[in-house]
Amino acid sequence: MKEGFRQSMTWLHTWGGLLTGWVLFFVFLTGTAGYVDAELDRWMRPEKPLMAPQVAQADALDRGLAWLEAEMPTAARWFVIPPGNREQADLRAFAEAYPKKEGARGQRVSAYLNPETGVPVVYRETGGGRLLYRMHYQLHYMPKLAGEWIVGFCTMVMFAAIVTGVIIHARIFKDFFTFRPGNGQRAWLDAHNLLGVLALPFHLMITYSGLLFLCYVYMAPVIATDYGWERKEIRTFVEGMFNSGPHEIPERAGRAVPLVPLAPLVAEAERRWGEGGVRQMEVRHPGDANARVIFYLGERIPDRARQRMVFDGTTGAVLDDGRQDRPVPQAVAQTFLSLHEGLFAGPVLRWLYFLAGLAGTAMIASGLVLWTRKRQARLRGARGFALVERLNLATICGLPVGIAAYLWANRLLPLDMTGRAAAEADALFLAWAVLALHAGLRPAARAWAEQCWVAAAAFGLIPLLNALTTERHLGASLPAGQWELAAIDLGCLAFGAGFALVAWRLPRRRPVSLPARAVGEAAE
Amino acid sequence: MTVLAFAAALAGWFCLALAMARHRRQLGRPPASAGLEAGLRLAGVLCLALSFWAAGRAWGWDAGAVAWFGILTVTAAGPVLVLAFRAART
Repeated sequence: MKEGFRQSMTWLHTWGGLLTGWVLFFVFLTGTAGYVDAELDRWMRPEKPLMAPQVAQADALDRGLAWLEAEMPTAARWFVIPPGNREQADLRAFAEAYPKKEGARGQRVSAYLNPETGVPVVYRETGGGRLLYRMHYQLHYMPKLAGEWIVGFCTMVMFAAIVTGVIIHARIFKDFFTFRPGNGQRAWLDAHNLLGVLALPFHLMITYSGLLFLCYVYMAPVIATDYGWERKEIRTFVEGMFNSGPHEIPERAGRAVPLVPLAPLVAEAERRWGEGGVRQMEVRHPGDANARVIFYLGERIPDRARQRMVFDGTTGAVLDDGRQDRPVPQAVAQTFLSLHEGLFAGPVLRWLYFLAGLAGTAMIASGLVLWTRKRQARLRGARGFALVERLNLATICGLPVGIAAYLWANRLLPLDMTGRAAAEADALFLAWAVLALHAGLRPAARAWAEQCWVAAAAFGLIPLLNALTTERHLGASLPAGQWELAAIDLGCLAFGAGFALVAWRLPRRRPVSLPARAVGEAAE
Repeated sequence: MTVLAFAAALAGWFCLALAMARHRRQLGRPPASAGLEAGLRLAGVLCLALSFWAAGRAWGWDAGAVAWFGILTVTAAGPVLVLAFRAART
């Protein structure tokens, strides 16, 4: 018999979703953590001051320049990020030397500085939230390119699963608000549908723009036909895709001319952008006759067109003071990238991004569980079924516990240990491996409850661990009104409570007798 | 404005849910007359539009549009949970 359109869509949705679901769960969960990467960075460096010192931006920028001047007086570029960004009460300075030969990367130095004194500050070595963020598109323990291809393939399947999911959801409007709680298959289907439909705009946007991000990897030949295969030519494309066309920066003149004082330049920028408007400063060819000082305004709307001002570094004259006109395709692509990253998001919008990310993660998890619920009466005992059941548990409980272990390692590993950041990541995967092993060895129903309790403890005890090991615990962050810091502790508490609730509600044994479907129908 | 954006979206979703016979039944209400149903639908859509306007005023139209989608996602959980909870009790 010829299968109908909807059946074949269902087939694609079911099997595509199942085979990529475990990787997608990882991608979505670590990506969601990426929305609070700066907050995690700060939490994972508890040596940072509790309160940002009040320093005038021009002074902070000057102190950054002073350090760079001493560290690398002749450089291709200097970069200073003043305090006041999401994660930072400190000042970041970064310099890159002229490359030794064409196409190579110049030597780099960077440091965190105290914005009041300009003296470098040393923090514990950590991967921070950035590492989780990077994992969501490059995975870990493998070459960058391999990770990008695996994630790209799964993302493509995700995109197909979203579209087919909408097609096969026959009652998308009728069931818009429908959730029938319980432990049967129907509750899982309702949950899967709700999480998919209510956050559908986010799912579509995040998946499509995710593919767009690495299109230069996945569709290299298409780009090469226009740009060529040379590394330098591909760079031209990538630069154009990710940055607005660079203002023409001249080559180095080779004649030494001192850099103009910064204060008037900062004053000019603040006149246009408001006080504290300068988010980043770049100096090209410092100390050269062709020096350029560039100020960047932070991203405030989802367009990725970073507004900036370019000054002549020897006279202080304004050379370029606005936004570039972008070709339409570039503007469209950059808007998608910007929507994906959400860098423009303030606290409320950041929460919405985070919640939508969690909804996506939960949608994937519920889809994986649903696959087993649908088949448990028919396939119980089959080897493939057992494998899926174990992998589901190992992923859905194991990875969150791994992330909690990453935070535990951040607090517990010796501070002077070499390779500390790598060891933190190892802790994540070690904890995950242990839970995966546990999932493989224990009876399924009991293993779920046990792992949920482990996850509840792993997250729920983090505020306590934090209070025992640092001065940046809730007792300090809450009275000081440092919500970005407190939110990590409170978020861990909430995750712990959530896992405890699930563990509490889980049946101790797998429901015997009636297949889930019959129970569901009887209840209707 | 931020609060209005959330509140209007929540009210809009409740109106739309109350226009549906099944959910009225869950709340122990008689099915809506054709006029009431159309009225609730219209009120729901207007509330969602008001939420868009408020989000635009709060964040600017570009970021506000993004926020609006997020607000819709989050607030729709309101009627879903209330209905599930009420249905479980009755």
